[in-house]
Amino acid sequence: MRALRPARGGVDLRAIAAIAAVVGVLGAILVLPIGAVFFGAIRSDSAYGAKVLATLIAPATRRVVAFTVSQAVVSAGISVVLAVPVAYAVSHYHFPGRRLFYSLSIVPFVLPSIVVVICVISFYGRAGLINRLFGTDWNLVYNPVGIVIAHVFFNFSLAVRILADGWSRIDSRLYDSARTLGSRSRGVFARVAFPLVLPSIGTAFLLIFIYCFFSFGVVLVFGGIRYTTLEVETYSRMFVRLDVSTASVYALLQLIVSLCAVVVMNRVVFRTERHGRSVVRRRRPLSASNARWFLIVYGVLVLVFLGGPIVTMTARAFGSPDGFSTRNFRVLFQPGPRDWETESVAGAPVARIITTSLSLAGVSGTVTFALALMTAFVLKRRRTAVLEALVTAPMCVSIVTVAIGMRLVFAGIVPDIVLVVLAQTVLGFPFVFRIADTTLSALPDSYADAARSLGASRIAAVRDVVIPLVSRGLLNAYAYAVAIALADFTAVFTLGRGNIVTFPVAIYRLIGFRGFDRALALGVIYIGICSVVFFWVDRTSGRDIDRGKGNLVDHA
Amino acid sequence: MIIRHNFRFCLLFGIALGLFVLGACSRGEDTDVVSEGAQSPASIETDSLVVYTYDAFPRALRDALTTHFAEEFGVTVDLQRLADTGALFNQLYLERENPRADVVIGLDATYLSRVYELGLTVPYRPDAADEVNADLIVDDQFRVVPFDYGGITLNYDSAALPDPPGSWDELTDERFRSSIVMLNPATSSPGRNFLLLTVAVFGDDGFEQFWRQLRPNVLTVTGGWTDGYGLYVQGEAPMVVSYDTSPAYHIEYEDTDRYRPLIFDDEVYLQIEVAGVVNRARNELNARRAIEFILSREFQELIPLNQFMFPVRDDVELPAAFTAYPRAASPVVLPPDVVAENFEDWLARWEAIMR
Repeated sequence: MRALRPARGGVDLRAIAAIAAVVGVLGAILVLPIGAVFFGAIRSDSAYGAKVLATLIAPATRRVVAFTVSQAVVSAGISVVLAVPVAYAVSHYHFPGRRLFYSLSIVPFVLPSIVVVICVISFYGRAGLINRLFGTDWNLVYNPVGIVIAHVFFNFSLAVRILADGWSRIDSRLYDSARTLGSRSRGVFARVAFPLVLPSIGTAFLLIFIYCFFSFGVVLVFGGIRYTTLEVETYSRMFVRLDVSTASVYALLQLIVSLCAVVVMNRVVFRTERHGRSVVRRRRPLSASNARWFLIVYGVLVLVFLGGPIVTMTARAFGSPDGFSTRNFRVLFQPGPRDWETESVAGAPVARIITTSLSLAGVSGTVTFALALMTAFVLKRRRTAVLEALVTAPMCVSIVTVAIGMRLVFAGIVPDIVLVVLAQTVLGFPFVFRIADTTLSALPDSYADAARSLGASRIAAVRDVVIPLVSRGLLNAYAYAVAIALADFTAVFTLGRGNIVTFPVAIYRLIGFRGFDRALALGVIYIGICSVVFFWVDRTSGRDIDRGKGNLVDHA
Repeated sequence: MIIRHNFRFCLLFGIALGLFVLGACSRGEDTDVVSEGAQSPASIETDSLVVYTYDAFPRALRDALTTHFAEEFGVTVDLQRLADTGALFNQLYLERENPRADVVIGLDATYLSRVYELGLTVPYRPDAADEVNADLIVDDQFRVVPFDYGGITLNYDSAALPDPPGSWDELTDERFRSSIVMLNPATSSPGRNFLLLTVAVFGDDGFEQFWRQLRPNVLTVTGGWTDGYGLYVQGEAPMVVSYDTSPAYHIEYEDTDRYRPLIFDDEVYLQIEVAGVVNRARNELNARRAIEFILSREFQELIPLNQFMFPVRDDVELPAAFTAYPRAASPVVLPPDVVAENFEDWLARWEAIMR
């Protein structure tokens, strides 16, 4: 489907108003803050032009760009390739624990990077489970392999969910036709199922690429000084070497390189013809698959890979010198000596950390989702290069810079909590938009047009026809909007002035206070709460699909 | 169907938000903080105090400051915590023409030459300066005053490493392959100071040779102290770059002397934390009172067990956890102007070796 569709007959005022709203919001919360940060610095630096040139032609810059891009390509590629069989199984077969696996796979994604690091080293590290099981001293993670392991651990579920959603929207009659025409099951996969899900693969690859492109903590811990990224360089210039001019050059390079990546991928992938038909597939039992043994063994390996680090971290939280103990959890709630108490160190008691995290993520997630959905509808009608670039821009800037700029422009005028919500919107918007956009553009316009020609208003056509057909994809987008807000550390930490305490902030502060065991216990509580939340979100979406299916069958 | 019912609501909410942000932003331009010539006369308000510090500034110290101002002067303290020292400096820098803060607590030597150059603080010599250890006075003009300090050095885990190296030379021994968690000098103050320590010890022409020999013994380089110390406590490596005061925490709160400082030739690099009165502060009088108070004995006595750093006054008695290990007799610190002039070069040479 061609995404660009000319507006019918002349000027469409409503479309222009909607576009203006999207442009206004993104401009205000993104362009203005970043402009404020760099303009102030550049204005006072007479040698700016020379610095730009010197930075651009330095061989070190080329090396950093090359490594930043290549680690992101490898991480995204491996995440997507590994996710293909899992997503295929989840969307085509039913098996015990399918829904639970699907829901919980999102958990690594909501972990702050410092917890991802802890999880990965507790399993793969030198003192990790693997080395202890085999009695070895393998150095598995302190090299580029470690970066990739952590990135795949972190982003795997994103790929699984986007691919599974893509496949679940493919008409299973296409498979039947292929079989009728003589294809073996392997041929059906290679010639029908796989090509049809390519746009989703493109989306997943792009999103994970961008995540890894901006990776900071993970890259430093596992890559050391040998493997440094543009994000590290920008941060270093901005905060430690206090050279904002050079920092702005690196930030600009980040913007250019990531925009190029997005444009290239748009050209290559999103122009692919889409055959999506929103017919809900009937899943077959896994035992009916020819590839069942491959899928089962593969699934177990994935469980070990993804679940292993979380299980070992949990075990460590329950550990003590004398074996199993709930001591680390009890001390989270106990009053202690002086400033040692959790409330003093983290800034809030555990109950308030839970309510703050959930309510903030609920609000930020909803705002992000609403903005992304609105933008996706606008772009479905009218897609221009400028709009495309603007909705992509939040992906291509570092959130630290945005947060500092927001503080500079808005602090004192807008309450901190609103700033945090806005910054989290910038953070989540591109991802939520991509998922919503992929979902919506797979839906032929003819459905809504048919409803409208039968007398439905535009809103009614969207509400009664479009939304029910794409509810799974949209709930997936909503889940990620919430997840990104839950996992956010930078926006809360930079804009909250220390008064807004969410799980990532509390965990970070506990570790900073050397309260390492307590931090692990709090991490386990966080994982537990996230699991419940996302299981609930997915259950709701599952019910919706069943109901939506009933409707479709009625109409068929 | 959640989505279906809320769709119209979401749409309206999004638009309302857009209008709200636009409104806020157009007002924002009027009071743009980078507008030229926005001079505010000093000391016109006396009933409030805005303090900027970093996130990890401990609660007991924050409470002491707020209580003191409320009880002594009836002043409400607005204490704002920025993410870390880098963010703290950047906020001051970006607001320099129309500052919101009156006093800044928690800068360190990394930032001082820029603070002086930009005139971010104004000189103020508190009465309590006479009680402060003279070696710690970082600025004769008192544009900043020290309020705590620690020594940057290696720490080691005696359970994993019963026989630690006894000298810089022995540290490069192959017995200690992949045993050290280093902190990146480009992103972390302790990491930067450890690099400066090796420059001070081996000299401008010798430190590269040392790092070339040390490199195989470095397991990894982390971005910040928190990540690095986390790896160390998890048992990934038995040595880490940290403070000579870090072991005191484990003695005080965990009742273990397993984690110990590793000091060669009685030398550590002094990391001194400073405070200062912000240039063009609205409440300069209260800012001066704050400087006076953080150097008072009452406040300095809270430093060891809350901040896990040494107090700057010699008349404060140290808790037992701080006297468990001998202190470095001859701490080193390089002159700020020498560091400012050479750091980029040292860092580039260090990176060339380590990558």
